[in-house]
Amino acid sequence: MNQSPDSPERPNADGPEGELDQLLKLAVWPEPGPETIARLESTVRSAMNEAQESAELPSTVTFSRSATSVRNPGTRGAQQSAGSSFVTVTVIAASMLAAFWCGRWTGVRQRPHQPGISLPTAATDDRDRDSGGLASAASNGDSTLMKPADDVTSRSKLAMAPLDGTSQPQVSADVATMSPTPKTPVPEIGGHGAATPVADPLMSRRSRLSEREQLQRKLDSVLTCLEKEQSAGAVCCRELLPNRAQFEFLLAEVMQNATGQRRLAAVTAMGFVGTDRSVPMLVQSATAAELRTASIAAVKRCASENMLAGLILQGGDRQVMAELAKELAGRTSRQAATVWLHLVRTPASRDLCLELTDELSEPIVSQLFQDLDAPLMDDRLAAILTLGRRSDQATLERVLGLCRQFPSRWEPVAILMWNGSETSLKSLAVIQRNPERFAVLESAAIQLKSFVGPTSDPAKHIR
Amino acid sequence: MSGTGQPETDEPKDWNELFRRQIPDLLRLAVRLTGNLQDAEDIVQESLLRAVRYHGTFRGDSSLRTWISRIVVNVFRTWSKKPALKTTDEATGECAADPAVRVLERAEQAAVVADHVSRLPERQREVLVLSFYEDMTAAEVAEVLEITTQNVYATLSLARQQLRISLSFLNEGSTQS
Repeated sequence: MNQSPDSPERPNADGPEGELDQLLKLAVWPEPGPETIARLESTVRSAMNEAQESAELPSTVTFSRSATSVRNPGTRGAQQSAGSSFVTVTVIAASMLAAFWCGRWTGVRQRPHQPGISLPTAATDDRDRDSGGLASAASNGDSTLMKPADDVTSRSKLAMAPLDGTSQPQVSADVATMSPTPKTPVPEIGGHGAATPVADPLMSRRSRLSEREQLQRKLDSVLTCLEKEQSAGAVCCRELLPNRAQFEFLLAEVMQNATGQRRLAAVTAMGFVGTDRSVPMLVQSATAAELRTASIAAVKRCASENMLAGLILQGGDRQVMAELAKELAGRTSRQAATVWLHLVRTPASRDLCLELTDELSEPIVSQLFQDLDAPLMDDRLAAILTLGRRSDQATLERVLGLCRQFPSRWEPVAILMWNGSETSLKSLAVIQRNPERFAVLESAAIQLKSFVGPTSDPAKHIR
Repeated sequence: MSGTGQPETDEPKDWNELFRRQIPDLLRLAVRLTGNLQDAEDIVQESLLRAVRYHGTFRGDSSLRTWISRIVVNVFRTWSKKPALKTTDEATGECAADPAVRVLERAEQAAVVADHVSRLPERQREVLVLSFYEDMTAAEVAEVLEITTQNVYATLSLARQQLRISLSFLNEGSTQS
């Protein structure tokens, strides 16, 4: 073998030495993690501090002939920082003093509630008038605001309270676009004095009804749109979303009282604006044959993950439960993964969920891989069962990667056992040949058996 | 990697920076010598504490890494006085057609090779790890181990011969696939 004077020999790649080199390059050792490095750093740092305190470590560290000094406290840098901090404190104190004197000066000039200064009418006239909102044009005692609700033509510009302290209220922008009805003064709660011109209760009642009427009108138009075109639910119901809470309530009324196409439209609309509160009603309406499809679709759209899981656990029509489970599997939230584990842990819903493991969304699958480290053993086992039933190659390769990366962990081995595919069995055969892996295999088999019961025998994979 | 007597131009200016730079490399060296992470961590911790304590002995006539590597090897020698680890015979199965299984099998082979390297006699292990895995020259290895370069060559030859024999079953397995 040729031996270079500087480096050990690197033999010919084609010869037996080259083969040995190839084998040696295969060697893989466990990689230190960041926590190991952090631990070492903290240990050494504390040792270094101790050494510095006991003066074992000099202030300068020389690593080569050209010494490089280490910055130490007490040197020029520290003094400079002390000086700069003094300047900073001085500047802050000076600015505080300046702000104080400025505040005193402006306070004298603009002290409120002094006689002779006109204030916004709301400040002085509130005791005698209705307060609130934009109707503070009582500064001129204008009773024209007390107009019927239908009088939109004389919707005058409302006067807002001036902010500059002048007595003449300034004209404001027209706020008619904000509301279809002109503003009326809100009756003051508690009532200050008998002379208060209280708003006509009939007029205020009319404004409340009109608001509801407006909502009802909007809802009617949406339902009419849905009756014509059921498939355009998302488009039609878009305008309900800003006030979905109110519309949810109104839709509930319609669902109870209406019939036929109207009711069907209400069920469809509920799917877009409803919440978990509406789910029981939708489930009830699903008993009607003509509403079944729309009701289930509405439940799938508006139910939360917890509600879906609750419905699945409640049981019922298997096809409906399967649809709800499929909807849950497609969700992407972390809560979806959590309730999925709960469903797999529960024997009553386990089989249903394990049939749908291939429908799981990618975020749920990722979360399940993380749940292999869950603190509760049942959660780990539920994740193992779920991942083991998936048939896609990506999941299997990920599991095999975990087997390689964590040879002492039983969870990936348990997934292979539960999976039972040809690739899994071959992989288990490879693992079995390593005597040091025997304990891992045993652990996996025992854990699986304890969770799924004696009917399943994962230990058959152990020869 | 700088040669002997040529200090590194980017030497860290304080101990914190020194540790931050050296710890990962030292851990990898220790893992390859000991074969497991826990012992490696203990060795590196002890080595760094010794480096802090005996910094005054470092004269700068070798690279810092060489100096600390020597400390690591010395600590490893102290550690290796403990009872030897139990050895097991590793066997690999036939090469599976499934690529996923082949990957797993390759990983198992990698673990086997690493295990065999870690079970070499102490001096052979040191020379092999420093020269093959740490990419040190013979002179650097000789400096770390405080032996001659001729000794380095001879020990390396012995180590390779030992591994050639112990890993021969892997070659047989690969030729059969």
